[in-house]
Amino acid sequence: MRNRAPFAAALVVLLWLPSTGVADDQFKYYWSTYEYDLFYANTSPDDPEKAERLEATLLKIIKQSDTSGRKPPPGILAEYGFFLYERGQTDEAIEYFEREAGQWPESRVFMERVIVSLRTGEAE
Amino acid sequence: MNSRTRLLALLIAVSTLSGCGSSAPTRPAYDFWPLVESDPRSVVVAPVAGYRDAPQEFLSTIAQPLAERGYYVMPVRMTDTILRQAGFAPFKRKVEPWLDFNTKHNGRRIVEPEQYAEQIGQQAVELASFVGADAVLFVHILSWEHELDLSEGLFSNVISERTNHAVGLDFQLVDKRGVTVWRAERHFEYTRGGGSIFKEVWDVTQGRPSDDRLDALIARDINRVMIEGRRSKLKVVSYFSGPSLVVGPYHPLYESDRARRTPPPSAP
Repeated sequence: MRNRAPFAAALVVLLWLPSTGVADDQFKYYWSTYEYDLFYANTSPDDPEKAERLEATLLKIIKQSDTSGRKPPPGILAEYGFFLYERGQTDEAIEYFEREAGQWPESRVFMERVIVSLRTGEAE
Repeated sequence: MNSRTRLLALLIAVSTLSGCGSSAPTRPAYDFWPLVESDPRSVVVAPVAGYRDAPQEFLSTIAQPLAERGYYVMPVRMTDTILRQAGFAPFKRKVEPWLDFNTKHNGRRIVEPEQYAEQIGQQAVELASFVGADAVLFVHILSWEHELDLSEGLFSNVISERTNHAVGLDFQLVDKRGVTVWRAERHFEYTRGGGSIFKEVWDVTQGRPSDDRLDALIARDINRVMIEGRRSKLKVVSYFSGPSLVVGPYHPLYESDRARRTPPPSAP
């Protein structure tokens, strides 16, 4: 019986090497249909159905992330909060802005600034 | 040396020649050092300059690839709305017509007088400060062309089963100090056969649809293609894949990618 070990080892090395050290896009986050729905919402600003669909997708991403214990993609919690703000649900919006700041420290300055503006606006 | 050993040697040689497996340091043609040194963690996309609906269409395609590249991306819809309301208009640069030899389309090219560097740096400082971001991504849409091969005259309702799309984008990443740390110009071309879009826009009882409607629907079509292409890997159309943008801190290859970049010889 012929010994195939060297060939198998070489094949493993050959298949493995190209996968190392090459920085390519990897999908780490769960996005659902975010890009599609954002596209339709952006290009059809007068169509409430498109906005509702984007809002539903954002909520779906958040719930999926909550269930799986993984971080939602950057900005998703804030985008959902912004929908709530646009609908006049300021308290709920602030809750999501705070969650964004908690999950992503890089957003803290902006989120805190938005929250302060909302609270100041409400107080006036 | 027996045949199996020769085969092993050949396989290893091939993998070494392919570059990825080589341990020899390679210097990239582009100087990534300003970006590595600046090391931004968060990026805000500045209001996009372009024409017609292209900026809004483009905006829907930028967050995901940038985030997957390892950066924190400020919420694009929220920041675009707030920044425009706060008076941050898209940074407009003078462009000139240009035949794009990559895509064979009549595109545009930015005419870049020196004073733009200072102006865009100043706007980046203000924008970054406004949202607390480490860097600002300015995108200029150079071309957003969609061609339909429509027959005229006697066969005015006959549509060729080919469309051509060409997109040209200029990316400029400027950090919060106002220093440009990365610059790239990317062009994408896509040709597709007939498909559902024709059924959607073409109604023989109504005659030829308006140019605006065609533009809007075909622009949406290319967005679909770009998104699907990136997902399916059948046609990789990605703004930042490969060596074109150093990965950010949330990318699993962050440390190794930074280590690959070497400072220019003149740097201390």
